[in-house]
Amino acid sequence: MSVTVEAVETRALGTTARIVVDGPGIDEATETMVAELEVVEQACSRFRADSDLSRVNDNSGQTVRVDPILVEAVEIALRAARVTHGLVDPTVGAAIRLLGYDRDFSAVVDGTPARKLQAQRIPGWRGVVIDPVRATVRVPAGVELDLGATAKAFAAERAASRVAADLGCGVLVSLGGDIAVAGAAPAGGWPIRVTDDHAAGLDAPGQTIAIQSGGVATSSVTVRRWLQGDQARHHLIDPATGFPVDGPFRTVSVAAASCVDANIASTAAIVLGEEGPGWLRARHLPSRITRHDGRVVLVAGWPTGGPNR
Amino acid sequence: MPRKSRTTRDTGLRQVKTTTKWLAGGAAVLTGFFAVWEGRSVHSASASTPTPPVAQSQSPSASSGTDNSGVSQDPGYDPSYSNGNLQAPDYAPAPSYQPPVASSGGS
Repeated sequence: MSVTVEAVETRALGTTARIVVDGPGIDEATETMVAELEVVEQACSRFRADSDLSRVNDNSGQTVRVDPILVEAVEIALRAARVTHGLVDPTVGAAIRLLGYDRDFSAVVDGTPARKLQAQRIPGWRGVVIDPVRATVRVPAGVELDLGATAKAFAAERAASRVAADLGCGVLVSLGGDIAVAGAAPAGGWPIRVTDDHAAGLDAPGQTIAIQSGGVATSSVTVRRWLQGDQARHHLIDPATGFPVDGPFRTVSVAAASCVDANIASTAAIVLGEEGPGWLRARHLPSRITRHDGRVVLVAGWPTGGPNR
Repeated sequence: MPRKSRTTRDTGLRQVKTTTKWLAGGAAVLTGFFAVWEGRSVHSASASTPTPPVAQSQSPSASSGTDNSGVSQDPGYDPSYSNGNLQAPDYAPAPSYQPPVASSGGS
């Protein structure tokens, strides 16, 4: 094992970023990662008034010229909706805002005022129009995009690929627990702790696995929770109701050929509930699913070994 | 050469020619038969051992059921499901006993 653990953590897209390089150049790698994440945040943040995404949401019903990065991010979000038949849908923006998550999460944790809400299906991704040639995005009037489900994974992949290309070595980027690797993996692969909360530390309860390529992503209803009045809320929205998912699983981790695909799959499985394991199995996506009572189900070749507690 | 000897020679040559023709024809038929038989055997072997979606060398266990840690292994691939567009990894994750360098969890 020759992993040079030069962990650098910073804030980006409302979460923590970590970079690991299998070789020299951690300072240069960190600079590149931070710059890449800043580009994505400037385009895709829902909480920056001057971001391209905010301009699209503020001008719903109109075609808005944006940074090509946002077009790419929306394209990825629309693909997520398409391949999951709407289980992972970027048009949850208004729903999650009405639930009280309307500013950076660090300002939400203390709770938001009670609000009477009714279950309502979200508008749906089919009304979103992008034009990659003209770099424009248009959402139907009243529709708001939230790219939180896929933008972190997209950003992690971009950063990892860029750093690997610059340094010519293996790189791991973790953005809020969405992990992308690029370049040659170290001997034995990249050792990764899979757990409920990415911020709980590398020795948190969970399992240690190694991956060679692609990415790992975890979706969990145990984090990013807040109170709206006396109602507990979390950030994973069921498109069928516009309310937080109320399913049997607390955490789903997925390994895929890319961090984005892992993220899409883990989110979809949480929304699907009991049908999630079969859905993941059908797609050959190795997955680790934890029920609320702590029981774990392993799917499609996820290993049983490794420190597992 | 006497007439009788010539007749005998011609008769022998005809028999040789006929025998050669049958042998050549039989060889061709047998060649075709074995080619078809071999092709079917190879096809059957391929069909009964589909390429796994992820490298099995990285998967430590293919067993089903629940181990003594309370972790259950979902049964394997069901070909009746459709495949979708999400891409499985080239290699399944492997168990690791190295100190982790990153954590994947909710955020």
